[in-house]
Amino acid sequence: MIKKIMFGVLVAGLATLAGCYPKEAETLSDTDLVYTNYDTNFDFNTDKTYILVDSIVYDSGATPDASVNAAILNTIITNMNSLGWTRITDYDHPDSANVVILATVITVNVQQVGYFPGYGWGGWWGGWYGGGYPGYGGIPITYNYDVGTLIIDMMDPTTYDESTNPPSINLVWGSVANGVLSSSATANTSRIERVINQAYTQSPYL
Amino acid sequence: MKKILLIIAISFSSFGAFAQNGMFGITYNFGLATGEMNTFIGKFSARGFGIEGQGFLNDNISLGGSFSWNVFFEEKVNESYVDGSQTITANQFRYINAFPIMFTAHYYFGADDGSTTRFFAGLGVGPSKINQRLELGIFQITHDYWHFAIAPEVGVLIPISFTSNVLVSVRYNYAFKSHDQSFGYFGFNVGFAWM
Repeated sequence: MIKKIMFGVLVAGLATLAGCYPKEAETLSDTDLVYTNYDTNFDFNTDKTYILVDSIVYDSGATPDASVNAAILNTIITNMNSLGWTRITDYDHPDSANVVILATVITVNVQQVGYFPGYGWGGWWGGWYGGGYPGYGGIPITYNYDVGTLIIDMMDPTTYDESTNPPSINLVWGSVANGVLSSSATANTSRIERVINQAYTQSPYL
Repeated sequence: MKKILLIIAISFSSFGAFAQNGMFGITYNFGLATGEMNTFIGKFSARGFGIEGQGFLNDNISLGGSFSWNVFFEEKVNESYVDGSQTITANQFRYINAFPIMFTAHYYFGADDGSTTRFFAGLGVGPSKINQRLELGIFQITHDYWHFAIAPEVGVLIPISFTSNVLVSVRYNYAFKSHDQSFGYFGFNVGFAWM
């Protein structure tokens, strides 16, 4: 009888062990992800004007791909316009618009454990920097930016503060699309449109 | 894991006190989540197993211990997860592994003549380790804590030989709130018991 019991325990144990995490992400598209966050105190509705920085920031000085850049900018413009926003192109006076939008592509892996990141990408417009703002950082998670992650930041130009080191500015909306820029330019364009559209779809407050 | 093994060992060492008349059972466990656990995973689980041992104080009352492992899993495609002002849209892989370790007491109806089908009702009390994991693309959100838990149960032992029985039971496993979450699920258990 002991043999029977041990056999039963073994079979049942193996059956469950094999199924501890029955299925996990298997393909690249399984790890596709669109994250958005916003400042709940910011008024997105009274003044619906924006300035879109018409160049994409690539960290680590990667070579920009013109078709990819165009897809990113055009999809942002299409979504903003369809939500009733008006684009302003007075780049010398960023505070002439309610928000300033900047797209960044991360070209190196960034691995961290902790709260979701505040933003810190610089190199644009005389050293403006994105800084964290209240309301960010609620979910303790492990995250890993893959090569080709697209970040879209929407900032409040009236909060630009040169007295801090580095200069700071408040983010009012942010979107992160993981690993969306693969090596294929054709695939990139359709994925870019899909993830940017998703970012706006899940942000009905804009 | 060491803690789990230690508690199992302590639970089952109590059988020696009742060794005159004992029962050992092993079951394949199915599960269906309820309440807020069902909101996380509504899909029926067909992954789990349990072992239990009991010593009889008399013909009708037994004391013992049990250990079980239920695995719940559900995949959601392109699902949005909202937490305050934050939204994450991704393919979601949702898992809950539950490990209740119970000290149990049972009441068996009818006479113990070794050949009669016997219904029973019981209650388990003890710790339960709950590991809940939500995978969202590249992110993971986990809840991995011990809970105080109870598990009322009804079932039946159907004799198939002098010492062997088919064991069928329904157990409601409830893990009380710990770190803002409680978990509850029905376990449908089918297996064998040896007296």
